[in-house]
Amino acid sequence: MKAMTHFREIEGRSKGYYGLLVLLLFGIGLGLVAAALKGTYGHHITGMNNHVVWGLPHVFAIFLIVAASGALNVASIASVFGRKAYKPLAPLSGLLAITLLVGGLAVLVLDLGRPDRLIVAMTHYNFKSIFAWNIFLYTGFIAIVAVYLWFMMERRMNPHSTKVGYLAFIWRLILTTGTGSIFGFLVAREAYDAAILAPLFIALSFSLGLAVFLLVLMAAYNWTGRPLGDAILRRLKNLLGIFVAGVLYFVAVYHLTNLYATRLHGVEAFLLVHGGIYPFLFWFGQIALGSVLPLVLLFHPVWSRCRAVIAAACGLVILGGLAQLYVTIIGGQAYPLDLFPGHDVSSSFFDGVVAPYTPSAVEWMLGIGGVALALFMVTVAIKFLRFLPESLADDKVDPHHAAQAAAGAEPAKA
Amino acid sequence: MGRGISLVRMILAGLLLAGAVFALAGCSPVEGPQMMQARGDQCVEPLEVIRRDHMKLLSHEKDQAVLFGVRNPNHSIRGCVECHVSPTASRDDPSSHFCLNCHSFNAVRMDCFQCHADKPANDYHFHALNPHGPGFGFDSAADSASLARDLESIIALETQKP
Amino acid sequence: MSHDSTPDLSRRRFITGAVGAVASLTVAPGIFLMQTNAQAGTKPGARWGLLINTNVCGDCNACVTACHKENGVGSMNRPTTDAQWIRKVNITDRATGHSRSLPVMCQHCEHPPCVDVCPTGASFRRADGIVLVNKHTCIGCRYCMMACPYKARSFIHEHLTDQVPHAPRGKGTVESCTLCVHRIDKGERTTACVEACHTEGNGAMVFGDLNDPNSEISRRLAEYGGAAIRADLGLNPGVRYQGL
Ligand code: SF4
Ligand code: SF4
Repeated sequence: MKAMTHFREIEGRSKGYYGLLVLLLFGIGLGLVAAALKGTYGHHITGMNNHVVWGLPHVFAIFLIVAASGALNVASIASVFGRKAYKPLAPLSGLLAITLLVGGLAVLVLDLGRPDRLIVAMTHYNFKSIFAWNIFLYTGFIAIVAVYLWFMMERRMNPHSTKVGYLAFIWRLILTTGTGSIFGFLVAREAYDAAILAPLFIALSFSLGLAVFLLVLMAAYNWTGRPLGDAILRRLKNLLGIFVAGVLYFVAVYHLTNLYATRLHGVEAFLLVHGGIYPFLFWFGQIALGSVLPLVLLFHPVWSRCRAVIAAACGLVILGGLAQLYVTIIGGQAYPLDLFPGHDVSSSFFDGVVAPYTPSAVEWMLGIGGVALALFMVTVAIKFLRFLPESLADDKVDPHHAAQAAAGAEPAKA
Repeated sequence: MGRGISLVRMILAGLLLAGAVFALAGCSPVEGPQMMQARGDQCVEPLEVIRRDHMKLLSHEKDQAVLFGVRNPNHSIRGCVECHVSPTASRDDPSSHFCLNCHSFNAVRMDCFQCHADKPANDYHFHALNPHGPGFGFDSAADSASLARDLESIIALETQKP
Repeated sequence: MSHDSTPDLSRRRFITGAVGAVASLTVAPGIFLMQTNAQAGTKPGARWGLLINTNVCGDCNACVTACHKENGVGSMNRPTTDAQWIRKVNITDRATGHSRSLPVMCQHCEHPPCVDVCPTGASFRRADGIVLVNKHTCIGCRYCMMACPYKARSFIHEHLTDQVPHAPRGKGTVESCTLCVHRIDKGERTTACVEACHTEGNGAMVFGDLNDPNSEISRRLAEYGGAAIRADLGLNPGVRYQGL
């Protein structure tokens, strides 16, 4: 049989499907309620304040945006690096890229002090601002990926899809650099003043995007009862392991270079040793649970064959990513600005002390709303459009593998 | 098939339009809201201009004042409030607030008063054409109090050894 | 509803008369008392700034109180979200143990990071060097607060009423010291903080035109010097400190 992948909409009539939709709608509702509350009462009902100005919503928003660009990786591997085995996964990869980005942007916009002035943000640009550039990067990303999806799914356009794939790949690299640079440009905040943040964010996007992709893929195939072969799963989980290791490497470099500069010892000690919740989230959340444990799970010779273990590893990577963003975004603000080097400082405006921050329920609701929105759009889209291959069983994905299996030879390594 | 649908649409649209016309024809003229009487005999622009274009004047003034420090008291929102709002106005009593009253009557949303004071201050800042006002240029000129303050701090500076 | 719409005439006449008298005064050189031309705009070539003598400034809060009164900035009794346009900062040199107290507000940087990062251009620098937030275009993203090295900005976390007419401020936008721009545009040459510092405080603050070599502030800077906070950042702020 020629390796022709058949894509088909999912049935989407089961109780479970509708249950999932209701659950996600509830999540979106939570987000909208949170936005309405903020609009009515103002931001004082959140945990954010004049000292920690970006809080949990930004953690969620940046998580979703970073994961969005990473989710496109699978498609890029197929089109840019020409790996045939990933081709059937490309449409879902593109879909996730769009929906995650939309979810993240929704959170970001609804957390503005004046979300009603979104039109102002669209009509007034300050081209020196990396934020303004990001508005173009994000909308451009959505447009390019939409065209890419169209070219992939419309047979007449198929031959051109590789070109758009290249464009999308380059664009996503710029986009993640742009997201990382939001922090890189803040000269006065010691935790952010590092060029390595941009590549760190790219590595982070690879691992988070793939983790989300894998989870969605496994859930979709499990719940619809479509076959999902071990071969493709093994490739993907190995890839995820490599990405997680990559992030770990960049994190290590980031902290080691900071430790090299005496001027940054204070903030490093704060984030790594005595900063209360932040070192805890760093060592326990980001490093132990979010990096080391998933690496063990993903590369353990026996455990890693179990799908539940792979799914657990993905979940841990996601949790670790959230912890990492929390430490980076909020920890970086909680550490006091050094207005007067060499002096002890105090004032009624929290100078010289660690800025207090506790996320409130409203912020959780808003963040969860964004995640629910992204997943809702995926759930609906795969019902009405042909995103998912009917089968991802080993012999359908990789003809080479099928031939090998027929010859009785076990594939040596994925 | 396609034709059938468009026919149905046209009929529907026609019905809607007819309904609207009948509904409007049935209306008697609406009574305007009770408005506060302005404190002054003359507006900064002819009535038909200010009625139609006050938002344009204000919008122009806002950019000039904020960005370039070019302040024209005759077109400032503060000037509107001085004449048209009672110093004891309350948002619960719309008739005490000309702007809010008319805007709510016409269902036109504005958010000026989320930031701008919605009541006149205690000192009077009438525009130049208000016969009760202090005259042209009052708003950008130093008043006697500020003059005294300036002199005071200058004298203080001159006498003080740094 | 016209019952309370008649202001008392005598007071109004009094003010009118007073201003008329002032208008004909001749004034010492360098000081603008009257500008009959209302459409003047920013003073050409000026750069407004402050000079603060930390050796004189003591344990006093006059500038802070005056600023917040002038601009209608009130406390909601929520210390973490309450706006502060100006604050007194106590510093102690770790090496020598020498303590001082000084006011910190928006430093009106020549190269302001808040302006660079603002996505809509709502943060901007006027031709006369005053850095302001255009609240008509501020979307409340707070990126400028992340970027400001001096923690000079506050976000308005709640619905406000009873603002003072010359200092509009409202929920969901960012604000900071305006260098009393409403006074400067009127032709006044002092700010609420400087004024209070002279009348109630220790006379530690001077306001003036940094670009005018004959101004008080320039003369003092030339004679005694004045340091910038975090001069290493190269932002060239318009607020300078003596004895830092
Ligand atoms: S002190 Fe802060 S708010 Fe003021 S101009 Fe400088 S960067 Fe902007
Ligand atoms: S909060 Fe307002 S002034 Fe500050 S960066 Fe955002 S839009 Fe600009």
